[in-house]
Amino acid sequence: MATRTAKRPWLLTFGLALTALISTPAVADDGKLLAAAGLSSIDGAAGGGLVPWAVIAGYGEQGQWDTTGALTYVDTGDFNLRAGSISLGWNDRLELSASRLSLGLDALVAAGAFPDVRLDTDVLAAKLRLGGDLIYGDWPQISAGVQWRHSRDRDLIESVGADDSSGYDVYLAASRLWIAGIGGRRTLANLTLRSTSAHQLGLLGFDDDRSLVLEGSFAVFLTPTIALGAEYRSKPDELALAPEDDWYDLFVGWFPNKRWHAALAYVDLGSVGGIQDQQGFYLTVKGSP
Amino acid sequence: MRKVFLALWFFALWPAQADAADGAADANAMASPATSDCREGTLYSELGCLEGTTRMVEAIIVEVKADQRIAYLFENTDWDYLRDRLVEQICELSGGGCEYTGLPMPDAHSGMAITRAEFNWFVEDTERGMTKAGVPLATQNRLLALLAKMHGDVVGH
Repeated sequence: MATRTAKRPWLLTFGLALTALISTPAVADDGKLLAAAGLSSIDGAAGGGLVPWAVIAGYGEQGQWDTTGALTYVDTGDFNLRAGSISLGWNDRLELSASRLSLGLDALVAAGAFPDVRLDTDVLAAKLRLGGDLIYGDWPQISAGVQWRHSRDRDLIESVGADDSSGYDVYLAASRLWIAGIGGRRTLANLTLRSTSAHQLGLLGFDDDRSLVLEGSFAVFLTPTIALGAEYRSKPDELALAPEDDWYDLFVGWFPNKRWHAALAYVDLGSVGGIQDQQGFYLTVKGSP
Repeated sequence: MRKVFLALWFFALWPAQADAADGAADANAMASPATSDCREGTLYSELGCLEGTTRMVEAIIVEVKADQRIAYLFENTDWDYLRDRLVEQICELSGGGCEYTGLPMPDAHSGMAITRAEFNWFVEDTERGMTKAGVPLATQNRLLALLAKMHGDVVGH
């Protein structure tokens, strides 16, 4: 039993998380301020498009819970990436999420350099708010998260030189929203420190060595419902066959109400799968029932 | 790109929040709203001084009264008294030189066990009221940032 648990750290995490869930009373509701739940990042964690923030998914405040679902599509011309995720935010303390990432290597397939299959990776994740507050009080909100990733294409992953077909990230995120920030507009900053073994989110597998990477987001709400921002996500570069670059994006977020959010971004993913200069668009839609 | 981002992030750590109370620091005697100090450059003057602040507070109260989510918190409220205290308090906070004569905030909310969600819903009503009263967005946010400092004195008492 001990061996089984050690092999599956996510099982322990989710077990603890579920125990926490049923021991805290809460109702489904929307006590957070508009946009304070963030969007859903590509890995499923509440945050920006590329970077998890310290916020807990959904609009549930303390004593409340909320669920969200999100769909994301990224296209650079040479590649496309589809992602879908569902998440639960509990008591503004704990977030659980599950996502599926699917990468289509269109250019490599067309060139006969890769079989005509998509590379799929699952992500199961949890995030815990450690302290502080996004808006109120003296300290930014600080959260810790873990993302267990598993590639569903072990043979292909190993053929490009990855050591493993599964791995996990752990991260620490700090987020703050200033109500009267730049130009009297709501202004958000986030900094995330991540330890990862993943090549391209795990879509190209995992390395035996871990890397420490820094990520950040910055956004200004021009109006209460429209935000302009930028994100940066530094990446490990451990796969000789497919060098990996840092990612960044420039985005417009739309928060018409607490039920629906959308964002459109220009992304620069650098080199992906051995093909350089991958720029394109990123579209994400997030909804809550 | 990493450097550009870090520069932006550190810049964000210096929020450009004007200290709205500065203008009133040399007011030698605290005034009642009727004799408040409508000097230019204060948030109070942005709010339209006594007339604008009163109109805004009345618009906020209309929103609060209509909000079923927090209605039970105001079951025993004397609305005229609340309006006058809010005008005083906002005048004081925004540099109008008034003196808030109500109970200290923790005492005013003692025993109500106001939740974080209820505080946020009140903020939403306040935003709606300010918008309906024609208060510009940046002015709204500057006032909200001052009111947000009371979060710890209002929630959970």
